[in-house]
Amino acid sequence: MLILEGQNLTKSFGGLVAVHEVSFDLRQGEILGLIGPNGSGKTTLFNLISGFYRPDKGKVIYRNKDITGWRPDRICKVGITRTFQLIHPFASLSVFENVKVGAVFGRGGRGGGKAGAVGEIVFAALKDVGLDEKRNLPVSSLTTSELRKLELARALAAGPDVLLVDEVMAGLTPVETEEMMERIVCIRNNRGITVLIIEHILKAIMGLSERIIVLDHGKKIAEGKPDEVVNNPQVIEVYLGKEDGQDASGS
Amino acid sequence: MKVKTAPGSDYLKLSYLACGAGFVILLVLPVLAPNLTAYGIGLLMYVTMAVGYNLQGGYLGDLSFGHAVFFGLGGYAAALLVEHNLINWAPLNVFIGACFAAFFAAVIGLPFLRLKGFYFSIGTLGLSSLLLLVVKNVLSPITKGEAGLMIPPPQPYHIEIFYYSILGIAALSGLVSFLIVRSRCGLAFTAIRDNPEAAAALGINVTACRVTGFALSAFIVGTVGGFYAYYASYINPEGVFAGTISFEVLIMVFLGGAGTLLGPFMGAAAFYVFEEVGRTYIGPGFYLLPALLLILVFLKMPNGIMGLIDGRNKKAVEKVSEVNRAC
Repeated sequence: MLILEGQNLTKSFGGLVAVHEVSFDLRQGEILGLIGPNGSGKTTLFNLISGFYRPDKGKVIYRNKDITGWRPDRICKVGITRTFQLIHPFASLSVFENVKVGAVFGRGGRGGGKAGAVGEIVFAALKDVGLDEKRNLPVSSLTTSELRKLELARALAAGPDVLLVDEVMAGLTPVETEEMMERIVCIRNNRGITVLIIEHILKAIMGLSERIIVLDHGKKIAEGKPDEVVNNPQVIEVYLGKEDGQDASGS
Repeated sequence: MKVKTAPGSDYLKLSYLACGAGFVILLVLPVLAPNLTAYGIGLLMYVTMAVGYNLQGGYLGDLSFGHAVFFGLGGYAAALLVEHNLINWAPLNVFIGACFAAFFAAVIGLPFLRLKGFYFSIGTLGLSSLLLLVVKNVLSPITKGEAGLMIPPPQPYHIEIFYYSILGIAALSGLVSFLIVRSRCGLAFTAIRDNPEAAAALGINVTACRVTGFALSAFIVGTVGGFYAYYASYINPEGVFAGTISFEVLIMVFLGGAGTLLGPFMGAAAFYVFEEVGRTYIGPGFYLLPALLLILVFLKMPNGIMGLIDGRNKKAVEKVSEVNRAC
């Protein structure tokens, strides 16, 4: 079943076309990977879906409803929550309070109306990412990987059906990356949510996603199962340069 | 769930106690020391302004350089109703003045709060200069321009009535600000100050919150403006739209600790004493000192007096930018 759909999304900044006629569909419960070299338009696509940018052309359809150009807070309230590539914690709040923001203002709003519910939602989200022990610490005492987990927990507390994850493994060690991958799969399985994930680490995304979309210069150049995508000549060219040495930058 | 107690939490309890004791002393001040009543009124006006400014400047982090606008609008709205024989019942006039200031903040907030950071600050600075000229020149047929407006003081005249009115206003403002800060609205304010993008992504309507904070802040400051018009029995453009008012309130809030509940009380009290003593013993040259004080506060104690007392989360912001640079 389709849950989220992008139709011919286009966004330019001045003369630069950051995303060009990109269409995609996200099926309920899957993990869809979004890869591509730097500047290929991945984060711009996220910004178009989550309401931070308004597309020049095209539509975003969520559960058969056109949500193109909605404000970010409204999009969060219907069930799509994103994380950020650069960590964006609320620096003056504790770990618990950071996640509380998601629980209070996100989709459920006030934890669905029940007084004790906010605390439970926050606790569940912190447990899912493994930060429950650190809930009373200020964010300044967290490590890089913990800050990334906090980013994830906050988004989970907002109660999304679709989670947009932007490079949650950037700056992590291989061991931490492994742990993060497992947690994301666990979260998807336990919460039954749908995940669209941007990742730079190819190995991570190959192991994680059921399908992958490849962007290059704002255009979608491939889509399919991970092993299909890595064997696609166009994808190999984008990542490694042309085989016969015609590409100066690749040789 | 309770947040881990910070290292300085004993001092924090002490400062709550100190503020409570201060309130009790102020409650009986006109009885104990009648000759200090006028000083008490000055102090309480400063406190209320600082509380109002802190809601927006401290918790939302939108630094206005022109809050004198709302002080002036509250005062002028109250005074004009008297001048044109419309309404003359002090509490109602002050309330209408405050509502007008809040309404004005909400209307200009919509375009102004599209500006971020310094741009918002400079915008409000421009606005206060503009409003001074408008009230002084453009609207002079209504406002009597530079000559100002006289307001006959309410009869019978007792300074204690003024004193207990402003004490009530200050206490009520403190209570309202406490309730807001502890509510989900306060959580939203802090989240927006720390990171507006993340706040929006988690379901907070950033623009609505910022406009609300602006209007609330303007309401409280406008109340003081209306009170001042009655208390001084006179209001003129230079007196209420002056840039010094905007900057003094900013100094008070940062001296006490922006974005803390007790900061504005501490800062206003410290600044008031500093100013009164300085004015008495140094004379006109004193007016250089507040500027110097602001520079010192920013350099040496950016979290103000409350930062020295509480000391929590000092390094948080640095840590985040460090991690983001590393990735």
